[in-house]
Amino acid sequence: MKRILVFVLMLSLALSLAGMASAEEGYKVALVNYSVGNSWRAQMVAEFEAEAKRLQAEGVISEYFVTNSNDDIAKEISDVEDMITKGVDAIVITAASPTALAPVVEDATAAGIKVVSFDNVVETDQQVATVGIDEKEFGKICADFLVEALGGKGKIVVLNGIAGTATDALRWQGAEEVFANHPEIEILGTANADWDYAKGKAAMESMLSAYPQIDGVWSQGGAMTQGAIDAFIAAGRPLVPMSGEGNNGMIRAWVENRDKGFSSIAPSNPTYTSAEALRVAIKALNGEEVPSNVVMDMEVVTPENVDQYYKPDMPDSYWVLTQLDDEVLADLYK
Amino acid sequence: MIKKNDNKMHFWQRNSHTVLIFAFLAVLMIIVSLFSDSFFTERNLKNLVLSAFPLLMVALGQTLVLLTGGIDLSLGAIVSLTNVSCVTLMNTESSVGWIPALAAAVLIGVLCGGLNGLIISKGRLAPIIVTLATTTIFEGIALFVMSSPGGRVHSGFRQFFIRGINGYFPLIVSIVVVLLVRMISNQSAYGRHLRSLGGNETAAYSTGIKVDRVKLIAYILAAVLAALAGIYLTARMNSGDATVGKNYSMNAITSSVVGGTAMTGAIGDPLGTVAGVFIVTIINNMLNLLGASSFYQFIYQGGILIAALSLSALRRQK
Repeated sequence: MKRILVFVLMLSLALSLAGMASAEEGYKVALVNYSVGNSWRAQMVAEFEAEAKRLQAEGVISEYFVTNSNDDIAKEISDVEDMITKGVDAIVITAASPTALAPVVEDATAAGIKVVSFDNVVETDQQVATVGIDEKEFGKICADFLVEALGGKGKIVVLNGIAGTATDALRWQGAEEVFANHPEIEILGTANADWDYAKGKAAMESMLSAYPQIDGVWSQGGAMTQGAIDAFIAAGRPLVPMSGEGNNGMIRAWVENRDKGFSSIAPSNPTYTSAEALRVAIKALNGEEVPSNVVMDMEVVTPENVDQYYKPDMPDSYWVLTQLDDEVLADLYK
Repeated sequence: MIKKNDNKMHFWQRNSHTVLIFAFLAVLMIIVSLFSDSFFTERNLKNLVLSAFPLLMVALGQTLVLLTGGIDLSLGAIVSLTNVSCVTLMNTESSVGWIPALAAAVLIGVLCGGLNGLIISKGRLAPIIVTLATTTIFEGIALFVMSSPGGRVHSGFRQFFIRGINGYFPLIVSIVVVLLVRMISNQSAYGRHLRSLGGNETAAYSTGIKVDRVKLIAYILAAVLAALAGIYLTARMNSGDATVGKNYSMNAITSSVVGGTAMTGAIGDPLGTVAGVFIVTIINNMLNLLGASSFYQFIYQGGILIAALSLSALRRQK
């Protein structure tokens, strides 16, 4: 008897799933994602879904799918295969491994699917395009800001991300080129704080005790900057200009401390990269020419426009560079 | 549970759970195919085998270890380690450049399993703690060997592993390995020792079974199967990644238990594990084919697994 119950339970699970299938005119598209493990990634998925719904209303796409592999490389490979089986017309992908996903992406391309990778891009030329910001430009914007804020002269420290990652290397490369032209900017010390709040704070604490004078901080991540601000406040040292990134927590610290000598700038890898990747894929489906490396315009939060971006009632984890409307955001961060 | 007159038991008594779990798998497949035309296509079925292969290898190994009453949490790390070693040692220029890499991967499997088995049997330590510790060692070595994903893979080796014999090579290897493992666990003297060890270690010892050696061999076999998964992933991903295996240890335990292997030892059948592996794999596949939202996927996955697990729970209540 009980065994029959189990089968019935399973049947009802499967039946409830079946309601989700439907078919209309238009393209079928999929987002193949490897993680929703932090707010940036969750907001990124929401941006894709919002854009997909808009395109659905316009009749451009009929259906969209979102997969998530929970950081599992092998599952993400299977996810792509399932999307090939489903016969989608386009896949936008952010890859758990740049190399491991390459063979299956090449299979998808061979099956006639338009693949666009973004965020963590796939290392293959058999895809329509990669989409993203110019990470070197990110580092350059931060460095230019610091040079100007310090009048071209001063002692600074550097907070980098995770050593060995391409993003970390490119952002610092962009900054280094700027600092090379300003010999009067002295770099006292460098730390890899892994884009992490706690590590950023700890690194800044040791730098503060090592260097009696720090005139500025070049940081390549918002959470690290937040940590640095808190370390300065805890040490009782006056705040100095620091570069940041567009997460609401960092922007909040900026707005709250801007009359205490703090100033900043915040370029970002926007969460709407996923929506942009989808738009690129649709262009390719419509037969338009698409460059193989789509570089997005850099949206930057500056001292002049920071009030437009800051949302006091949103949590720290909210990313301010977004194309989502308030209703969707409220739902996402409820 | 396992008596000497095991062979005389009726087929149904001996295999009731395995038959049930395959029935569950069949029902699952039929339901999915009702809602998705693409399920019973050659392409999708081949994909299922390709997706299931590494988990199948690791789960068969885990089943052997579970039969002894032990557990091996380090199998996933062994998958990663053999994957990166295989890629690093591969000579892509020479036509036989893949042979030393494969041999090395298998050897590394033997060494890893041997280390686990020795510490557990000679040290008389709890397998869960020992393999938790060796997991970090194997993961550490894997990251040392290849700190960022990449590397190049021998193209002939890759083509043959994934697409050889009309794309049926992985299926053929799966069948051979399943039959071998089942022979070891169900028909050999070693298999009987394995189970009696899991039933009651002291009793097994007093009947003259070389407990330490039986355990050691079980952990080595499991690690070699994990190495096969690592080698296979090398071909499938065309590269190495030191984090690729991290989910396999847990998924392998799930698959074995869904397939009717008892965590307490002695009871289980590698054939049941095969069904368990395909249930776990098909859940992912069907949720993708049916277009379930990615946030709900894990909830459905959990629900279906509980349904499958309750089959084994019901059997024990009888």
